[in-house]
Formats: sequence, structure tokens, C-alpha cells
Amino acid sequence: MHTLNIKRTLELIWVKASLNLRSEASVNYLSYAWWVIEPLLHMVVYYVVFSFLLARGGENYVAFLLTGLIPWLWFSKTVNHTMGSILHGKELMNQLYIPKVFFPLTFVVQDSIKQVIVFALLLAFLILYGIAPSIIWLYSLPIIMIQFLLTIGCSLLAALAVPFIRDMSFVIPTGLQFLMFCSGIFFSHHDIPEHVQHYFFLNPMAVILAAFRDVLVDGVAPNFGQLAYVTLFSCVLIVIAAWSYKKLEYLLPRVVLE
Amino acid sequence: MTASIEKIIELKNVGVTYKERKSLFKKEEYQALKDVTFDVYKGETLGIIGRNGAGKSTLLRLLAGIIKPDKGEVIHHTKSVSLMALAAGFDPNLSGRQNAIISGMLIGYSKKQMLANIEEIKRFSELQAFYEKPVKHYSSGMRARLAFSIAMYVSPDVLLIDEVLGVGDVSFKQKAEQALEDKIKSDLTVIIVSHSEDQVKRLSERIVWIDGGKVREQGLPEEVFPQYNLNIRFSTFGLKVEKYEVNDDFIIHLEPLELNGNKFVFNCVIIDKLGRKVDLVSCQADGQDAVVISEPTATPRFGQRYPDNKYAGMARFGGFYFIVGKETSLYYGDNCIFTSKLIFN
Repeated sequence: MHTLNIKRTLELIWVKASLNLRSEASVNYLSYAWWVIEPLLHMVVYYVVFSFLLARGGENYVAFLLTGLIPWLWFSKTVNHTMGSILHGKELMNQLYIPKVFFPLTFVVQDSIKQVIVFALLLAFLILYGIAPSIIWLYSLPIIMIQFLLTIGCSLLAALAVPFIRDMSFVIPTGLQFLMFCSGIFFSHHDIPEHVQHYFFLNPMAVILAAFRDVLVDGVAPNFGQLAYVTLFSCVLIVIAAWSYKKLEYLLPRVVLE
Repeated sequence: MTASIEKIIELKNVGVTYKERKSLFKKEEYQALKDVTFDVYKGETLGIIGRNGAGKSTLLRLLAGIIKPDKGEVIHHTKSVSLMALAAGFDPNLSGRQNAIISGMLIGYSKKQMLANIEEIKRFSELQAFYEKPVKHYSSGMRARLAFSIAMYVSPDVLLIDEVLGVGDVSFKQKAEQALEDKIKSDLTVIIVSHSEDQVKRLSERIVWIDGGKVREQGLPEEVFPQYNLNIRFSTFGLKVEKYEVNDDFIIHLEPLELNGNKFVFNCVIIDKLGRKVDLVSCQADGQDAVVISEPTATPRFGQRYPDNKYAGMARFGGFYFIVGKETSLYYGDNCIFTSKLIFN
């Protein structure tokens, strides 16, 4: 029943996400410390491999790598987490009426809260690495917002697809892997041939990663045209998702049990 | 407290079909509910009974507004319906208090409203220090207590209860039943689904009996239960009672014995409410010779149960049979004691 209006649902998502984080932390010995340790370990691994072992790239390579990797991990982890969320909520959704967006959005919020710390760590690293902070860095706020929208759109659709086609839980991670190599985490878009670049930037994550690098590493304004495209793209995804959730609201409790 | 005329939920010719995916192109259909029509009235306590697999859970989910039917319609005249599920949906790593907040919010309460009630829930649940500990450390009785306590403080207009009160120890159980009865006496509409006859009988004012995806019977508990129980007894043999009419002057108790081809052998305890001695009973199935039995055997249990009736202790007649698919009647003199028809399920 529609006992939950939008405001209550959002409040519920927020409370559930923050309690989930607590619950998640409570099972590990180092609890909240993992929020810092985990991304730190990631950063160390890439630093060691690319800077020491391979001695790759030019001078700012590690900074370049991490500014791409960290936003990417936010996106891919969230989509990976959320895709099974509706399926896992099958017991709950069969006990009372609950807007199904509750399940994926809780994960999106949860992962995004953690991401705040990771971004802070990234900025700290960049400064330690020797990149001078500038006012240009403020551009990263709208870029984060755009990525947040894109993540919501993709997560909502992934979570919706899995209950109907269970095979998607294998397809989506593979797709993410593919997308990872197409988003230019390990290489710059300057390194790919001019005529392919047009296609390269059809991938919204490639746009976002390039924008982060423009702002944080190179200290220049991002490409607004491309960012506008990603914003539009994300909004379209969200609208499609919202429409589908509304349409499938009463079908999902049955589908998840099949 | 009589039910007012106001309907709160209406079900009209409701059908639900589940599709089971076998592989890419193969699907199997399964009709959980075929054609269900009944109304739920405001303030009443309705019991829904039925055997396992009769479609009770599906019906509950329809009533809760979780799913929509494939056929017919369900009309809700309230927005606040929810299922009181005992001890499900808790996050094991969160404390009782945190789970209580989430549970209440899921039903539609705000965080503020839940925080206002949270101490009351703690007191009612008697969990004390455990209230602050993760639910994973709870015993199943404690979980049930927590869930029940939450349900007692956050109530929708229509409360659906699935298999009531597996709640912990005896003292809490009494308290829980008392609290539930108080709720029922208020203007809350309660729908109880269970196969525990005791509870449903005690708590419900009206019964809907679901069988094979349809409403088999609805009415007062004392009307529906005798038939329901009879049916349960026969269904062990794969039989279904299609017709069962009893003369009100008699108390009868059927004891099924065995199914032999299409011949169903049974004993019958027959007590005349008017106190006459029943000494000669004949049983006749359509187109068959009558079986006449004249010597009742001892039934001490019935003698104890009906001490005023001096023949109650000697009332079992043995060796009748039904022909499955044919109407069978039992006669005492000219009085028809009962007429019944059994069919294969």
C-alpha cells in the first residue's frame, strides 16, 4: 500500500543506508578504518606497480591513474552492489508494500557516503604528490554530481534487469570490465587516434574521467559540452528507470520469487 | 464489537497465476488463486483458513497490496495495510533498537514517530540489555518478541497476521495474546491467516475458508470449522467432501477407516441431541443395498463429553461405506441423519 510517500521513502533510504554502513563496519575488527584503508591499499598497489615496477608514463602518471581509477571504482562498485539488491530484497518486499527503488537507492547512497572519504584521500594524495590545489578544483563538485546521477540511472536499471533476466548478473560485471578498459583509466584520450575519439567520448564514464583529470591534474576547466551530454544521458536513464519501476512495482514481488 | 457495514477491502473474482520459468522458452503455469470473492469489513477480525498450498499466502499478499491480481480486482478503501511478519526482515548486524526503527519506517512511520515509541517497544519486548545488541545474538524467541512488540506499537488500519504467536515463553505468550486481543477489540481490522484452529477460532469473528484457490465457505467459526475439519480428515485419503448436510438434531462424528477402490469405509458416532436412543442405523448409497447396523459399541470419550446424554457412551456404529462420487445418506428410522457426497480430489 502507498503508506510511504516520497519524503518518507527518502528518509527511510537515508536511515537504512547509514545503519547499513554501521552494520557493515561492525563485522570487521578494524570497522570504520576500512573506509580509509581499502582505497589506500588500492592507491598503494597502483603506485607500486606503475611507478616502481613499470616506471610507466610521464611525470604525473600516478596522479593521472588515480584520478581516473577512484571515480571509476565508485561507479563500478555501486553498480555491482546494486544489481542484486532487488532480488535480495525478496523477503521484505513480499511482506509489505514498499517502493522498489528503496533497494538499489540504499546501496547507491551507502557507497556514495563512503566515497566522500575516498575523494578526500585522493585530494590529499594529489597535494602530497606535488600538484598545487587551485580554484579550478571546485569544478570537481558538479562533476561528482553528474557522476552521481549517472550512477543512479545505471544502478536502477541494473537492479531492475537482474530479477527478470537472472543471466544479467553475469553479463553486467563483464560489461563493466569492458567499460573499464574503454573509459581510459590506464591511458589518456590523447593517446588514441583522432578519428576514434569521437566514439570514445560516447561512453559517459570516459567523459567523466577525462573531466576529473582536466580539473584535478591539469588544472584546466572541463569540456562542458561533453558534460552536458552526460547529464542529459543520465537524466534520460533516470526517467526510463522511474517509469519502469512504476510500471513493474507490483510485478516485481512475484518475479523475484520465481 | 460487531463489524460495521463499511467495507475496507473488497475482492472480486480474483485470480492469480504464477509462471515458473523452466528454461529460455519453457514456462509452467500454476494457478494459486482461481476465483476468490469476499469482503473485509471495517473493524472486524477475519480468519482465513486453508490447507498448505490452498493459496493463503498469495491471498495475504493481495490483501497487503503487494501484488496485483491477474484476474478480477482488489479494492482497498484504506492506504494503510500491512503484514505483521514475525521476526523476518531484520538486519542481523543491527541492534534491536535500530531494527525497530527501520521496521516502523517501512510501515510508513517517520523516524521521529519511531523514536517517540522506541522505549515503549523496549519495555513491552522485555529484551532489556539485549535491545541494544545485534539481532544475530538473539534466540528465535527473542526475535519473535521484538517483532511482536514492534507490531503492537506501529499499527496500520488493517493488520494482517500470518501464523500468529510463536512468541517465546509462556508468560510472554499470554501477554502477547492479551495485547493482540486488546488490539482486536479496538477498531483495528485484523486478518489472521493460520492453520491453528484454536487461535483462529478464539480470535476471529468470521472465517473464510480457502480451498483449491477458491472460497469454499465463509461464515461464523462454529459454522465453518466442523466442515473444514471433516474435509481435512477426508483429504488424507485424497477425497474431497462435495456435499455435507447434517440433521441438526444429531451430533455426529465421522471416523474414516480406509479407502478400498471407490468404497470408503467409515465408522460413525451418532448421538441424538433429544436424548433418544439410536439403536438401528441404515446407510444407503445411491443405487446400493442399505447397510444396517444395530449394535453400537462403546464411546467412553463421548460419554464424558456429553454427560447429560445417557446414550452418548455407547454410540459408535461401525462398517458403513461411501461410494465415492455418489450421494450417501444415513438414516435412523425415517430421520435422515446426514447426506454427503465424496469425490476424488
